[in-house]
Amino acid sequence: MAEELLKVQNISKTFGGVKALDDVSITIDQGEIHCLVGENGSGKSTLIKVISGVYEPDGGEIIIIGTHYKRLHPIEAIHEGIQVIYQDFSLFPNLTVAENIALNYQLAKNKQFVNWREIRQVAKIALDKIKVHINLDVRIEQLSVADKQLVAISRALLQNARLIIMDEPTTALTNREVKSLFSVITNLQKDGISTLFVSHKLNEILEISQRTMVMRNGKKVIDADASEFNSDKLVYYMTGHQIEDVSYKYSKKSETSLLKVKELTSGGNFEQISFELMPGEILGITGLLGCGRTELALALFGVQPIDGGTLSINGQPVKIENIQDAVNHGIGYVPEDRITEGLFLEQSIGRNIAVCTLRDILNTIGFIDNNKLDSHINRWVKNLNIKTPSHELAVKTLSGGNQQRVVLAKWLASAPKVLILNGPTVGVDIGSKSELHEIIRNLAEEGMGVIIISDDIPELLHTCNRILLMKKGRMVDEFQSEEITENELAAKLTEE
Amino acid sequence: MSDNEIKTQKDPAPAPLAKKKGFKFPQVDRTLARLFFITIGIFVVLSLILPTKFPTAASFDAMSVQFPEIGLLAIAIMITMLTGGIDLSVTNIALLSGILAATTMTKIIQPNTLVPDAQAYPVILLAIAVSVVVGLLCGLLNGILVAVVNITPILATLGTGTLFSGFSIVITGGTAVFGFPQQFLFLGEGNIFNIPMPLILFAGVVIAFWLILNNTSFGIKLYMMGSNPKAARFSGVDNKWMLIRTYVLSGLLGALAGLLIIARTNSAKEDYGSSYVLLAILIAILGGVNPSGGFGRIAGLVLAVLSLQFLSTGLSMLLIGISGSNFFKEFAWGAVLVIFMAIDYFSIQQRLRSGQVNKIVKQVE
Amino acid sequence: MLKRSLLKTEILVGLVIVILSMIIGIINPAYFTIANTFDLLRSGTEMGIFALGVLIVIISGGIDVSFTAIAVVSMYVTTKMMLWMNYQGPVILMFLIGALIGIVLGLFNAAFISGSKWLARIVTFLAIAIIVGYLIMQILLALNIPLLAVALYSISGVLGLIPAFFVARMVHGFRLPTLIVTLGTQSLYRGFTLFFIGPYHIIDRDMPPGMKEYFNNYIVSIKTSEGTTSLHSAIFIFIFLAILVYILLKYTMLGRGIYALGGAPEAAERAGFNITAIQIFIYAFVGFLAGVNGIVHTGLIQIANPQTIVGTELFVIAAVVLGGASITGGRGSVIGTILGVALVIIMNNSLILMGVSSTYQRVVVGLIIIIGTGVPAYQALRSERRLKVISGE
Repeated sequence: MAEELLKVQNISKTFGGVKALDDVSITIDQGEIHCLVGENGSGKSTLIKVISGVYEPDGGEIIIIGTHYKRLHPIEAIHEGIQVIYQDFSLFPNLTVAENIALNYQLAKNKQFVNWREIRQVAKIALDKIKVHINLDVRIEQLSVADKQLVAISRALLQNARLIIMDEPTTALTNREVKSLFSVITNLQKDGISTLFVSHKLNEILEISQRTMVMRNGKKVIDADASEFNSDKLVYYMTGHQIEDVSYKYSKKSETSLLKVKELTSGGNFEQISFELMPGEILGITGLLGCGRTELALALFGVQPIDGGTLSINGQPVKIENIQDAVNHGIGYVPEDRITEGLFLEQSIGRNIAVCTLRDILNTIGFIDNNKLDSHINRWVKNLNIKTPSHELAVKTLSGGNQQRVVLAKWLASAPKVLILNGPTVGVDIGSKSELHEIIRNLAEEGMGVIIISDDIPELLHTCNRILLMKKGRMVDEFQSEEITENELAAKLTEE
Repeated sequence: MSDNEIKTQKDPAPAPLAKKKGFKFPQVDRTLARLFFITIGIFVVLSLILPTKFPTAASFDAMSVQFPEIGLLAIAIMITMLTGGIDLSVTNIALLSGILAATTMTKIIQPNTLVPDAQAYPVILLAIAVSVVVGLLCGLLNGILVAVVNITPILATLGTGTLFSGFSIVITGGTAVFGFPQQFLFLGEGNIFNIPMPLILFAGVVIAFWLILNNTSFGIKLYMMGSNPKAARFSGVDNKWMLIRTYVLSGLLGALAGLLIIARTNSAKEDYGSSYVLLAILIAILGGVNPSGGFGRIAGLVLAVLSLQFLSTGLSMLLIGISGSNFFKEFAWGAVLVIFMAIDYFSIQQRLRSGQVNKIVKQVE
Repeated sequence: MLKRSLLKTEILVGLVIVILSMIIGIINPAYFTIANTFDLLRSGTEMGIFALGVLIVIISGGIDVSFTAIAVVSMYVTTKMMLWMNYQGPVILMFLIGALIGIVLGLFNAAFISGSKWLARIVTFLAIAIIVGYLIMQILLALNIPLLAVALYSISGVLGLIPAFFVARMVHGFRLPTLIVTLGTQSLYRGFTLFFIGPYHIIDRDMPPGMKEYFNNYIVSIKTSEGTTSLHSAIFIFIFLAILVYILLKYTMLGRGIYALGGAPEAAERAGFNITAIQIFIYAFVGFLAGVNGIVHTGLIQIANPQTIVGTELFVIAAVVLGGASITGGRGSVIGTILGVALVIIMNNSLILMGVSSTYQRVVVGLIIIIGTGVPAYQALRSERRLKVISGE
């Protein structure tokens, strides 16, 4: 048996009366890949922050190879070889790859002056360690998400990391990039470096993990060998109850298509895209990251300029040149990046819901009718079951799932004919996820046309009735979702 | 661990913290209440120190014609701050439009001559129209530079402000324009039912902007855009058009302020009110407007402009006979701005520490 | 890539300077005379020193508009102090005092911006002690108790210190928006000087002897047909400071920390940079530069007028932005800044040479700022769009 690297014993942490961590223990061996699973708000992030010394626990202790800590300071954690790779990677967009990698190293060595040649050497060695090649002189802001992550990992390794904690590392990665990340992690394992992999993507956990710990409501639910788990069991431990995903059955509602896209082209992004969306359909559009799926969605929503092709809605040809056109033609778009594109975090839930539909609640002289506004908001809070004591609270007080409902409510309130959802459940916990799917299915049954852009295969198969596959800017295949299995679709998605 | 144990762990009540009372107030209301007491406090203290001078009809009359012009400029700063920007050129717009209105009047009617109403009114209307059109155009230029060309508002309005004041110099050659028709001066000196005209005008603008900001689609979108422009864009808000309209409104407010200034002082000069920008920003900040956008109320602004006017008048009375009392005010405004922001920050930090807001913040993390 | 895009701005600004110089030179050959060159260099010295400070602040993602007021305080207070002390020695002492005043005022700014606990506590302590002490003194005076002046001051002072001590202990630092803070302190510094020190200018013959000597501290003097034209040694101060800032930004961890702070403040903190210390340094350094520049200004203009300088800060900021610094932070270079300053100075000073009436000066300057900031802003907008198209998502 490998040696124990980190032992966290009976840690508790309370924030103003709310127990974020309740008597949690975890042990990580050297060279072990340990997964930490739980829904949003289960205490995962708090645990990471305790381990990395950001939070001071109220009770319990942390033991790192025999050294006992009641309270670990961030700098001690770094000296002990604990490195966290946050979701935003903590990189400097304005600096080069080389400097980003070497900067922390130089800081840790307490250097006062900069030796540019050394920086390049150090960075090159660090990148070679994980066997990747990235141009050292490129600014970080010009890299892809996956490359940024590799830069962050190699930076962590430079500081003699013994444990690398990755917080939701795969959120913005394509399947292939996830694969290469996993090979980097297993390589690290060979060098005796442990990984604490925090995620809520079940298939990934099942693939990479040696041990898995599940948390819920600040408590440890189970910590066991990976072989003990399967997908259903994980969901069960995470949510406390069984979730059945029923697949969607489409019934034809009309002969004319709601949205007809013909030979749509946007230079360099996608070419000659044609498809039809019938009322009541849930159409999945999938493909690897960078295949043009987001650009296609944005083009339909008037953000991405179109070079050629036609669009018609309900059989009528339309021109969509900006977002206002799209909204006027009854197209709604739920963006992938909820926080920056979908929500006004500081503003009230009510205003967030009403922002698209303000013109419907004006009175005769053009002012907002506050009674109408109130009932309008209350209706949507109720319809979508948004859990909040008051719609006057800021959206940022809500959980991820409820925030996503607010974004949905915003669009549903405007009664769109076509609703485009880009990654509708990214960052949403499993319980909310199936409820969101339920909402989407109900909408379609009422006659709305829904387009889901996603590479979450189970989500696509359970929610959509038809799936289109895009590759390198072109539509290459089409499936009925009941006619294809998860594995087949996954294979189609990744094959060259 | 057995399955039964897991089942007993029911889902928790969501967001237990939000249910607690005490956080029902949004941030702004707290600011408003505090500001209200500050205003009253300043008034009481000054009345105690200067019992014979400060709380008198004469000083109220004097004050009520002074603060409207700066109040209008502060509203302009406020609405641009709501978008996350700022309009540093607004005083220059006021002076340029005022100077053009003044030149229009003095070109047609000989300065300091009495003319009959029938002859004066068309000219006055023309002058007002000139001023308003100039204000709108200046605002439009700002709006285009900020929204379309994408220049940071500070730099854009700094540039246009310099440009506008340059125009003022070119038009006047640096000298003052003065001697307007009596009928025009009514705007600055007259009163209706004993209420001074500037005050009436200011009250009208305040009510209009209260309605615009709280009860129109434009107003609500303005707040939304200010707190997250990208999300506003993805919600179908035409950000560019919103920004342009905001800066145009700001220009219009500048023009109104300009008219008030020239009607009250019976002259138009390029270097009038050099500290007005700072003062207007001070009022906006004091009134609880968030300079990074999205938050701020007109009621707070009105309270802030009142308390600053009290302070200003009080200081003038206290410093009577001392040379350079203007410089002392300049010193005081800077000090008030910094001290107020520090206290505001301090009180938020204290509440964070005492855990009142803590939970919300933690949950967000 | 960073180098390339920066280089592009620098080359662009450089080209504009060359073309502009040729046009001005064709319109009026006097542009290429030594006298005019010296004139430009003199103006450039002053704006350049300011611009170095502004560059650092802008790279760090902040903005400072109080530096001109700091220069005013440094210039006027130092000169007054020398006259009062009847100081006969060399000018170097004035530079030291000016720099010190600048650093202190810079630290005052930093107290509200950096989040430093101790600076905030000191400032809070002093402010409350002064305000409360003053109020108590006024009350004591109003009560008409027969008290010796010494007793009056000491009672008020001590009574002021007590609440100051307790309140200051509760302060944990301030992090306020830089533009608004420095707008406030600008007004505060200038108002303080004009009200408490005095509003009247001090002309050359009333200056301390050391300063009078410094007026003529020329590197070269050349006789021309229109008289003697000279280049003041203050340009060396600028060159020295520019090299210093260049090394600071490029070759010290502190400098890289400033870039890191401007690029991603949270990441900088996580990486282990002491953000508070960096910001204290930045604002103190800006203060230092402004303090030195206050004395340089006196030396070059040969007059100490406390009602000037303030109002020029926005041109300096515009020059720095023109030179490729990004107002959102993280980007900017010394060379770009020098070119930006050169461009603004040439435009500003050459209007008369080009036969433009001086009443049009502000119009032209306004246009320079609009065009100079508009072109890079519009380019950034377009390249952002392009980047989005290229990178996909």
